[in-house]
Amino acid sequence: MSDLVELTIDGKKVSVPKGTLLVEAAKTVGIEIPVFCYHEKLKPVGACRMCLVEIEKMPRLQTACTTPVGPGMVVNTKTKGAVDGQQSVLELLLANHPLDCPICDKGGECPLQDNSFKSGGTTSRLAEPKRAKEKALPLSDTIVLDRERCILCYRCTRFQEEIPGDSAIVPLERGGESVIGTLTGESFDSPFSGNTVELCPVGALTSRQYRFRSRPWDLQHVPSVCSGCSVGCNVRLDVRDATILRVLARENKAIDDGWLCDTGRYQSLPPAITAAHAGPEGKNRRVRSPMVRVNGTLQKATFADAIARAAALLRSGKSAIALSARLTDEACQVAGAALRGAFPNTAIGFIEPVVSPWPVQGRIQNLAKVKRIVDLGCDPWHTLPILALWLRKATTAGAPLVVVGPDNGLWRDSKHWLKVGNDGLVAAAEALAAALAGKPATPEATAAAAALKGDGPAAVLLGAPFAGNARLRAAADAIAQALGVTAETGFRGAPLRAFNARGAANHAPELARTDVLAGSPQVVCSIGCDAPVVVPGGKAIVVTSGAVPDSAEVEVVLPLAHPYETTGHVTNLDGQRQALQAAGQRPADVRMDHELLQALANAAAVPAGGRA
Amino acid sequence: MSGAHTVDHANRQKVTLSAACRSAIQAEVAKYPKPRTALLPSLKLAQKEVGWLPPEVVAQVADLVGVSHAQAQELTTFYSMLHTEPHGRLHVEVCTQVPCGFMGGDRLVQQLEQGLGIAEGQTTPDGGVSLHKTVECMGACHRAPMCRVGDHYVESVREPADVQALCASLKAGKVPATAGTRNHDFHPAPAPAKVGASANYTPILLRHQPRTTQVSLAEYRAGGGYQALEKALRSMTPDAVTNVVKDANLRGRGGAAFSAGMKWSFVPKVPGPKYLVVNADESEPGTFKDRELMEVESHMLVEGMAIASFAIGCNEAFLYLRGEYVEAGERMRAAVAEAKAAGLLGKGVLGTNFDLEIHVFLGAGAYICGEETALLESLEGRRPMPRSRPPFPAVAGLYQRPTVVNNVETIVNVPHIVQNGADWYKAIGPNPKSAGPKIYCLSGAVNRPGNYELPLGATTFRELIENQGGGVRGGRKIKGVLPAGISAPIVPADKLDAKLDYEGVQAAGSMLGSASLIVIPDDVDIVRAATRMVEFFRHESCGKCTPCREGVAWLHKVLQRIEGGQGKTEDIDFLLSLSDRIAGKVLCALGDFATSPVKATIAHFRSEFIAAITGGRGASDDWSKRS
Repeated sequence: MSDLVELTIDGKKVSVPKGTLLVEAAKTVGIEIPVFCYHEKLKPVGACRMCLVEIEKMPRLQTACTTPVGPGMVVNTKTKGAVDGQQSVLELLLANHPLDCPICDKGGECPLQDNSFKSGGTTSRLAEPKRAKEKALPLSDTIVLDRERCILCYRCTRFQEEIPGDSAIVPLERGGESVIGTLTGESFDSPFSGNTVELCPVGALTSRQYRFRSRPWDLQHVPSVCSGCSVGCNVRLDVRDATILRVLARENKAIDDGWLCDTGRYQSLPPAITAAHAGPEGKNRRVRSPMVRVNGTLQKATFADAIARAAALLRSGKSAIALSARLTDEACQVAGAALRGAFPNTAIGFIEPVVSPWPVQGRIQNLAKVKRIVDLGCDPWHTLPILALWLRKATTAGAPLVVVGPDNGLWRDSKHWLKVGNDGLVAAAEALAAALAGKPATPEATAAAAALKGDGPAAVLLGAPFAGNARLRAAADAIAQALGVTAETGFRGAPLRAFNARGAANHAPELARTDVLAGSPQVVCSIGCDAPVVVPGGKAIVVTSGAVPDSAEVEVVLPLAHPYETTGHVTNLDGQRQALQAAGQRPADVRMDHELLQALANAAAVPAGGRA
Repeated sequence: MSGAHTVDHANRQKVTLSAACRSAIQAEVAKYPKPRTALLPSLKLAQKEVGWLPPEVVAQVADLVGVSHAQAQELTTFYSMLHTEPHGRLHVEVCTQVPCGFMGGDRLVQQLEQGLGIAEGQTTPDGGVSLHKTVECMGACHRAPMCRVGDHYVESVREPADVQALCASLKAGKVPATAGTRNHDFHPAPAPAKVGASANYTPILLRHQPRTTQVSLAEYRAGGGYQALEKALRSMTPDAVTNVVKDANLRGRGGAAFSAGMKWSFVPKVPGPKYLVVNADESEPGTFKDRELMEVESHMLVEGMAIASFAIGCNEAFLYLRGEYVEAGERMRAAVAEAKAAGLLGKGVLGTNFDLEIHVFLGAGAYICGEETALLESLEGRRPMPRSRPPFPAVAGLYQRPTVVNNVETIVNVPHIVQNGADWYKAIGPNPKSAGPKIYCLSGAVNRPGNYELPLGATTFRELIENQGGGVRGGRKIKGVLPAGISAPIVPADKLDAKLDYEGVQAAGSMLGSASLIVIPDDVDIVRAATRMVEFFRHESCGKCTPCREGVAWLHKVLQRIEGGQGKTEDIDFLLSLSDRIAGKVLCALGDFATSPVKATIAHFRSEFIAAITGGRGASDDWSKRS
């Protein structure tokens, strides 16, 4: 109990842990103190001054976002003085803020708009012209900045400095001329840049993907899981008129800590599925209806005809079914059981590895608390970006990071980077293992090993593309053993990148190690694969949520629902099973993966041309 | 911005830094506890070589220091002395702030426009000279009007002949020079008169006036210098040093007047580095005392820093000068080198086991760096925006380590206190609770402006102006006196018998601050003065907190309108209302300061504002009363 502090906020008794900021303490008793610059995941700065409150015995108004609770403190958030402070700030924030809410993307979900509506004045006392700054300034391929709308809360620049640590955007100039930007001629390049759009409390930073496409109140929110990689970040899909328009973060404290990478945010969206939102002809070539080749050309067909033709082709000769590791757990179960039973002579398996040669042990969130880290060619910053943010929590707390490999997005945070090419990875890892065992090694490895001395939980990451090498795995084992890595407190493994690799291995273990194309099949059915298999001179069946390969070998095309349009489950790289909920609307013939696989299995039981 | 430069980046020849410059930058990076501290000095090294900072050069510096390109551009665009556009080979900047402006600064701009044949903001066709007026003060108020030419100060440009000589020199590609210094004063001041409070007082700090050359180590030692350091190191504990400073009631001379010994005692006795940072970012208009102390009494400051470092357990101290003080910076560097060579600094000071390195670090043009936490941010190579407190610097200051920040004038008192004791010190001046020598910076419309050292509280406004200042220039009446530069409320003419100590000036409705007295004569237009002063704060606002960033700019817009003859009667009350929306709601004191020139001038001279609004005045560069 000694760690609890008691105080009074607006006459209510509050008891919170020592060190709690007033703004958070107030929330516990339902008192909302308005803020702009404050964000619970960023360090408090007290810049915007919106949260001014009165504290008895203090001569000046204080910012609730920077003031920790004190025993016996008497805080007033709604007295004349506090309200005057808050209204002063609001008036000054609005002085140069454009009145363009009707054409602003943020309108309807804008804290500045909300706070002004709640407590702002109805007229402006500004007689002079507002300050003019650049509008619609492209900062990068994905983000546009309106410098007039910016209220300089520094959330975006603080995010880039504190969370990824790349300071890819900064405040420029000073005083009233301050603007957010980059070095002249450079763009806002960071794998995490999209988070700043979500953090922006006004419509200054906007997403080029979403700009002018909807109003917040017209959106349906659907909880799902990002399909960009195997981390399994939780997302909110925003849907308007059947089309998914944007991907937002949906905090899962054990997986994503509230952030998304740009690959997930901007590149995981499926092309629009309904013709109305498909855009100009040729731009969006997503398959929307089943097709079969008739007289040399692909023609629209019923789902039943297309699936029957597919089943017939698969039974007609040497055939294979290549599965993507993006399929849901449910689809994998169908593939492993019903589909295998229906096509006993067809090779069925995943087109990519689903079992890691050096399996992951330990939870993602353990990465934040480890005391020593070794990365052997994994480079999470570029391959599994959110893991890099977890690792930065450890490195900013002082954990040494030793990286072995050609690429290292965490170079700023690395204590040692043994920069070797792919061909030097094994030798460098073995040298590090030797040095950790106290054996003679290269000076670089010896220095790196010295930095890794110490106790406490540790993490060893191995790049999956290299994990097939037994010597490298042996070195990784030795390093993990030397650091005392345990699954309970640490992390080890070569995480596979594919969305549901781990779920596939769990739910269709019998398909996991099939080298599906080894038998030179002539008929190949690709299901959900990024690059559908087309054997020259053979016959291809393409089940896809993308475009059809422009190839004469394609005999049957079946449209597939994207993971965001699918209800089911997936398992992320550290083994957590999460639910997908279908967002948007699909035409009836665009099937979810498990429905489609079941239909294919069913079709196998029916003679060609017949009815079930 | 007519005549301003615009750079065609696409067709410009890209610049690569020379090997010499790159290695100089690498040496900077190796010099400090954290590499990022080297970012600002490195940008200045690059600018020295290239003349300005084009983006590719900023990127090269960033790569050498190990920060993002954007972070280097962040500093480049923040500091006034770093240029993102090229200018003439000789870059002339004329101070037109209060008091320089009404002492002839604006007139000097016009004279230089005529003499050089270019308008303000332009560069001569041969690229030789560019002319700008600045809104900052350059710490040469006693030598108004003045200008800065590159790193050089050209001061007391009073007479037409001075202007002619300056223009001729500039056209020949040269800066007027006095041997032994980079600065040139056309009319050096005579020795101060021994009159009034100074009649029986021997200066302790400014003991060599009117000398402007540096006191050497040998001279300083011959006068008893470094004996206090010897005494502290050989016969006192760090706590004993802190206690004698505390007992002497040495109050901080930077403006806040907080007990220096008390501040030192707040430093926790924890293992690991602790820092002393001496604030020499003397940027308040009307203030030029630290400059003279550093340029002349350099070793007194070095000795004081060494003793203070010993007291707080610091082995690496920083002296942060405003970027414009190039001459003072070089002299301090020379003094530090001289002291180090003599075993007074470095490893094992005076053969003891006390080690001390002193870094002399120059800013690059930002008033906000005088705010101690902004100064620390600047030293860390970050955007100099004040931090919110707690934590206080004593607990988490430079590099988040325990840090003491003291003003130059505070520190130069320390050797004398250690040498002579607390009782000796408390006997200097009438008030033992705030005693000791105090340097009064006297500028504006007096016959003998300058630094005057007197016992704290031994004189009044009027006595100082009459006795030391030789009375008001031209025999005019006084409209008012700004006692702490432009940050504190103006003291009107009827309150000039107030004592010049902390309590006395407070009773007169203002504050002593750093004791920078600007005498404003009755013919100065107060509306113009207020507008100009608020423009300073608008220009120097860092932009971190809303009320200061938005509010001060708004104040300035309204004042500009009134000053230009477009005011409305209700503007006056609006200015006061807007001031209340700023004061007390800001993060640091700058925003509060910015409202002083508005609130106090309206309080004392409301009729002048009314006249400016109703009198049908037009825009003008004239400082004299127009309505």
